[in-house]
Amino acid sequence: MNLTESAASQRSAESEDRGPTGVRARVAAVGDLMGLTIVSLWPTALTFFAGLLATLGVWMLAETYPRSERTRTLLTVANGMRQVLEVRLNDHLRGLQLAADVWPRFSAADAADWKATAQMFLQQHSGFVVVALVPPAAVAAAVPGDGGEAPGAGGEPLPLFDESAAEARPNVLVARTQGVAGWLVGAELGERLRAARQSAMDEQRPSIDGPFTSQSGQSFYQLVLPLEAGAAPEGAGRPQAGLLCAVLQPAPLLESLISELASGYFLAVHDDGALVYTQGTPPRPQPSAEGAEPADDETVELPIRLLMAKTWTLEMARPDLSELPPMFSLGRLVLTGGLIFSLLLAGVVYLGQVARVRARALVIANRELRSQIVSTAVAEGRVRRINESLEARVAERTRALDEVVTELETFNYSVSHDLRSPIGAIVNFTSILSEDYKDRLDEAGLDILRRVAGCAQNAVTMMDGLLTFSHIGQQALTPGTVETRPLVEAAVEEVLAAHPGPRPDVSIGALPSVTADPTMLRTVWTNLLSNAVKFSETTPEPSIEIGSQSSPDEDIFFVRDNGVGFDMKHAARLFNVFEQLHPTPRSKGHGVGLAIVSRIVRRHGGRVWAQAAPGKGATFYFAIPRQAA
Amino acid sequence: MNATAEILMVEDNEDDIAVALWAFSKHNLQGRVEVVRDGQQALDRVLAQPLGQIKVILLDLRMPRVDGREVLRRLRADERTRTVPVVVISSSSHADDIAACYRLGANSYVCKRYSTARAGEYLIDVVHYWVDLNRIPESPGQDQK
Repeated sequence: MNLTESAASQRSAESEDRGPTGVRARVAAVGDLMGLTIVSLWPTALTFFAGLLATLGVWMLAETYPRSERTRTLLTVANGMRQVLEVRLNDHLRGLQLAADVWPRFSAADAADWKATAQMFLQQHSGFVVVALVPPAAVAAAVPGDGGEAPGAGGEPLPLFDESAAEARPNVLVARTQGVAGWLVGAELGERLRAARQSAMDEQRPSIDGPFTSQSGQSFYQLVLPLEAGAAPEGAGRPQAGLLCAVLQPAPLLESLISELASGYFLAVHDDGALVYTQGTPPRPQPSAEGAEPADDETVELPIRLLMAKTWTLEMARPDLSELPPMFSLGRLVLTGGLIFSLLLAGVVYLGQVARVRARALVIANRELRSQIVSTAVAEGRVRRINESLEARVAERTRALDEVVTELETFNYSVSHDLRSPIGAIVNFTSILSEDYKDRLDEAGLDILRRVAGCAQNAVTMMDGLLTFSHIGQQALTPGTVETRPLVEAAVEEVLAAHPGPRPDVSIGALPSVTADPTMLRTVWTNLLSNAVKFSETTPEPSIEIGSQSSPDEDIFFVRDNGVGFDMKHAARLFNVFEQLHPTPRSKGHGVGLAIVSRIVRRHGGRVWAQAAPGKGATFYFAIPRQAA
Repeated sequence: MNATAEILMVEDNEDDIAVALWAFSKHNLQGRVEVVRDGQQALDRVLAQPLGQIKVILLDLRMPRVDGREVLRRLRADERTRTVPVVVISSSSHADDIAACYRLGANSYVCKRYSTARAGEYLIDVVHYWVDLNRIPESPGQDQK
């Protein structure tokens, strides 16, 4: 299923259940519920690649961020450094300038005062190593303190500071820091220093010159500040005008300022190409002229503007970080984390899709289930209603049937009972007639009278049979254990006593006891025996056999005679009321004997049947269930 | 009212009465029989008048007005007629009827018989037994248990 298909199936699932897409959605739903969830892999893959892209972006940011951040930091540090250097250097210079401005106004100052003041200045302003007060006459001297003597012949190095020479000329006042015994400079440098003093003197303008390098390698600057002339009163050997000349050594000054600010950075101070001061190691080997430019963001150069239009250049470089171990690389961390995150995100998207598909499948399945439940409930309700109506109808029919049966029984009883009296009266009156008037009737008349009485008598007998039959239907069963043999023997005696004909040979076999109503069972036996006697009376040697058979469920009894028998095709009618298979004299039976037998046995849950052939006797069976109640 | 009657026959069926009377006359018993036509008449005869010589009551069950069972119940409830023999003569052979009559105190129960041999002969046997052979206390009440 791709994206469009899933959208279509969703739409169809929401709008209608029928149609091919609905079927497909249902198939998918069934498949989903069986655990075969099929979802598109596109969203998952897209999510994964989007995550990878985002990771790459973050990685690139992470890669560039520290560089720019370090560059920014470098700039900040360098700017701070520049400002500090500018302020402090200018402070020094201003201090010197202040001294130059103020000094000539002290009227009472002498050489000792100047020395003390100059020493204090030197202590407060590191980097200044010498301060000299030079009268105009000595300005031209090559070296402060050499008293205007001619430079040493042959280029001999001269001491820059010669205290003894200065002492010799009291008009030059020199103060110097401790340990500065005097540097040797060449004649050429000495001349340049003197020319700078002369120029400043001439132009009455402060100047700073340098850097110079002494022969012992000391780098220094010469600051010259002209002093106002003629303003002070004439004193004893004290210069009123001239120069304030100072030697500034930048290395210790810068070192004292920088060391506490930018440790770890590479730092250099240039003065117009000349290296004034350097600290740390350059970040990489200095590129050659043809080599690659050093990265802009790694080195920064800033101007330091000093008084007297002097400009230094501050060069700074950040510490070299390229030697950090790669395992701490932020980029690698970002890449790894981003990959894992993308995988997780893709997994979440996949699971979300699966959940969505399953939820849809569940919705469909639920709908199907609900409709099935509804239809099942409807069907159940229909079945229940049918059942209820069926039960009601059955009960109604049963009740109606019971009523009919009861009516029939009542009708049977009352008809039999009510007819009995008038028909009996006929019997009686024919009897009276034949007795009282037999003299007045001829033989034919008496015969007719006898026939009338016989018919009426038969009718009464049949009524009695019907009444008995009716009683058996209505009488309640009172079952008990019945010893069959004595009951049968008594029945045989009763039947034979009532029978006027020849006495048949009766043999009685083994008879088990049964559970039955004793009175009714006796009726069964008397009827069967009576039948047997009746239908075997014309046989030359009548015999009756009584016996039993046993089966697991029931006790089967039989009464067998060797009488006239009957055709088995009439067997079905045998147990009906008033069924007579033989034209026997009516007085011999009421026609309901076998019907009564059948009724009693059936009421005990048993069955009756017969086996016979014409002229070969008949056997009547009846079976009583073992557990019959 | 027959003061000398020994047999009181309670029967509403004229045919049965005719047959019975014919049988009684054959045996010269007609003078000893008194016939009433329903239960109310029987009660009037037995309870409202002196009992006389009546030795047996032949009682039909199905009768208009007061039926045989009711007659039997009232006879047995009355002190004077408690011991008078009552023979129920009925066309019913129903076991329930028979049992009910004996419970009410009938002395005998005889189904009406219709015989081509001699009509009503069974009544002669009944009467012979109860009138000539059977003995009851002469004076009811003196010999109460």
